[in-house]
Amino acid sequence: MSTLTTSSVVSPRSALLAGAKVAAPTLLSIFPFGMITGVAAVSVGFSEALSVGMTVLIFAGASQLATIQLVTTGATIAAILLTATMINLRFMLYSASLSPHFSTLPLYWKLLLGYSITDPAFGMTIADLNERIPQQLKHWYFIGASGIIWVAWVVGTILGTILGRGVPPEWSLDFAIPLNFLAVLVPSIRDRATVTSALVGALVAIAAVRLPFNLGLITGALSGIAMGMLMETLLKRKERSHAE
Amino acid sequence: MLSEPLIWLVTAIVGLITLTLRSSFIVLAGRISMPDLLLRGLRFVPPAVLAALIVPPLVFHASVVNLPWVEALPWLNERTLAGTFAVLVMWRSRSVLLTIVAGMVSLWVLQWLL
Repeated sequence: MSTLTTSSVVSPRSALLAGAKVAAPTLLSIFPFGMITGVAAVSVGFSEALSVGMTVLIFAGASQLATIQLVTTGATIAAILLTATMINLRFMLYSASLSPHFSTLPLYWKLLLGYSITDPAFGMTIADLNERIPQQLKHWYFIGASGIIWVAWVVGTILGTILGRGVPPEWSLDFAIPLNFLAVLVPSIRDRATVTSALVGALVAIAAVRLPFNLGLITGALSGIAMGMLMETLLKRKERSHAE
Repeated sequence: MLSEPLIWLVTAIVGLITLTLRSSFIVLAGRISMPDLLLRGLRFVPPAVLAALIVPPLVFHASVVNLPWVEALPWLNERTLAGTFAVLVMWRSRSVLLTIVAGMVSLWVLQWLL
């Protein structure tokens, strides 16, 4: 399919359309995700403007939901910033693998492309950027994909804030936030090292829950990352000694 | 909870941090490379951060339903139960939407039955 859409990429317009087309299937999950974010934001008491403004300013679902949850549970600003930073660190990886494609563009293009990076936009375009799209049209192709995602997400959030106002608190719609995180957590657990990392993260955060300034969350997260890396190293060493 | 103007400020700073992370390598284009330790640790960020973020509020949730064992095992409340069910659904189906729907419905069932 991607050969069909990308072979005709000969102008900025066709690159933009091909990018939008390749990202279109992901809208099925992005649109409801935007709605959930909107509903969650107003259900904890955010104004409509703040709920939608958050999507435009942050434009990264997981860190938005984390911010909403932490604000409601009375977390400190430092803990919110640190958590959002950790959740969004993965964008540096995307930025690194996209950078050769956009290296000759002016700064405003680079910032716009950077702002528009999302998991689905990166996932759907990186193969074609590496292989098929002409160098001078790559930014149009990428912005086509992330542009359509941006529109779906913002419209989804707006709809969510409208619907969310009418929902009584007994419906516990705030529970959609941890559920969404659980859904992201499960596929991130792929082997013994990542299992260790999640278990240690959860247990340390539970044990340290009384620490001030949400240090429990940060301690849990950092312990989980450290133990995951340690486990990975130990497993690799074991493998190597078996091979010898 | 923080006041709305403060939440706006926090949102703007998170937005700025996120933009910095996203544009980092695109703007610097090849002038720096990722430190190896950071690269290795990135894989463990989602499992560790998400687990540390979600699990404590679930287990310390003050139950609003009459579970018979809630006095003895307060952490086994309606949210941990619905959350565990959602994990099973995600594990089998790999569908985010289905997982959220299943978790919400099971929470409502528990809240309305008990």
